[in-house]
Amino acid sequence: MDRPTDDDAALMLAWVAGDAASFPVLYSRQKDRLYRFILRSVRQREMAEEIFQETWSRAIAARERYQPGARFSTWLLQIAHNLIVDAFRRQRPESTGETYEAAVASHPGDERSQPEHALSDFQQRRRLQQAIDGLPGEQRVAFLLRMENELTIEEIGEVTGVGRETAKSRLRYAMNRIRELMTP
Amino acid sequence: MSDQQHPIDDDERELARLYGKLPRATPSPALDEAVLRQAREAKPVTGAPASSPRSRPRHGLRWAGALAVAASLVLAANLAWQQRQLPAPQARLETAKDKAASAPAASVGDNATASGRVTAPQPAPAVAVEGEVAARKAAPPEPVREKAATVSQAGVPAAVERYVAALPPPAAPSAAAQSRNASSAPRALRTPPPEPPPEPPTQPAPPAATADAMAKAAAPAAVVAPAQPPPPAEIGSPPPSPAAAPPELAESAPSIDQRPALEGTSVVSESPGDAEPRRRVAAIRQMLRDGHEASARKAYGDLRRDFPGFVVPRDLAPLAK
Repeated sequence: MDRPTDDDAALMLAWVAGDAASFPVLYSRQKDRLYRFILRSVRQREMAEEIFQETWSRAIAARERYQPGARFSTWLLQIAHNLIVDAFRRQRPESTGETYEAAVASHPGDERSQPEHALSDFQQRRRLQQAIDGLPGEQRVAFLLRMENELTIEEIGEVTGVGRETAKSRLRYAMNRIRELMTP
Repeated sequence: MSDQQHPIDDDERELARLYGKLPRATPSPALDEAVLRQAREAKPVTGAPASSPRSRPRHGLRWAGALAVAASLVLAANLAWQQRQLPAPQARLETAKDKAASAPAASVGDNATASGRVTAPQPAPAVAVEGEVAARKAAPPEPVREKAATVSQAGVPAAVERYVAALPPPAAPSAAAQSRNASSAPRALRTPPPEPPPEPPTQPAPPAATADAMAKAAAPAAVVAPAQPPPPAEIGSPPPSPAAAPPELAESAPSIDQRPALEGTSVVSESPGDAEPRRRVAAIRQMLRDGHEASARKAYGDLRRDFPGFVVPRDLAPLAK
């Protein structure tokens, strides 16, 4: 995984200062994590693409106000999370996840797995996917931020706009729920 | 992310491993191109955001807005102040009129109240002539005479005295008239002068040609003597005359320069007691001829005050204005 570092903030500042070549580098480092977080949160490809593009648009528009006090990925995920929450509010009830499952099925899995374990891995991934989809929205976001983006408890709270204890509680409930669902 | 801060137990590691095996969706190339194009089209920012020159117009606009608001407030306050100041003189005039009207009304006697006249608050002496009051009851109500009542009662002014001295003495001043004059002037001097009138002294005074005054002027000196000196209550407040020239006639009266031509036509009472007023009339005319109009007006006012029954010649009527 391409772990984001403080270099992302430096790239952002360089692009704001006029270095046009910094932005493609920054984008290539952040796009996959951001896209997967959005897609697994909203579970709709069209909505995920729309939110993904809108997230970058807002980041570009707010480049003058960017302060490198926090990690760039945290700032970017915060923008995306706000857009996801707005999308959830606009679109209720939530999607059943069928669209997301179809999108996931269209992508090839990890080809490194051994053939004899393919069925087992496939079943485990399917269970994991069902467990993630079955989580409440806030717990799912906390889980995705932890697993996909490797954020700390504090960063999860910062992105979702809650305190540390709340973020920790959400993450703990999400983990326990997934373990329960993964247990045969 | 430190493990001490976020310890990942074996279950979490196992979940992380399994999560890593999930399909790794990526944005489409079209989406990548759209985002990169948007970034390219964004104008680069030059300079630090905090000290960028673009923030200065905001400060300027803020100051301009504050100045505009302050100027508007000052303008509004000024207008409000002027609006409050405008009715003030009018209110003062009304207050002065009310005061002037109410003060004499408070001291009006029963007779005056019955006749509708307003007299000066100074108490009239016993010779304040009940007959005169009774005679004037028949006269129409007079206008408020506070102005005339406040005219100086300090007696014959020095200017008049000078002119009178310059004139030839009257043909046959009667002893009664002399004694009357000798007694009236000191009494007038004893009278405390009232407050100066608020109105200018050029306000026209009603002519004194009343039938009652003419009758008194024609009466014998012994009879007229006690009544001729005007009572203090009526000093300077000549009775209204039915023959008084209306304002339009007064306006059409000849100018002062034309008065000598009218002298011969003036109506002057021929009573022997009128020697003094006639002497003053002559003095006033002399003043007019000499061009001392202000002194003539003052002497005219004194004449009207001291001899309310005296019929003033018409050529001096414009001085009443």
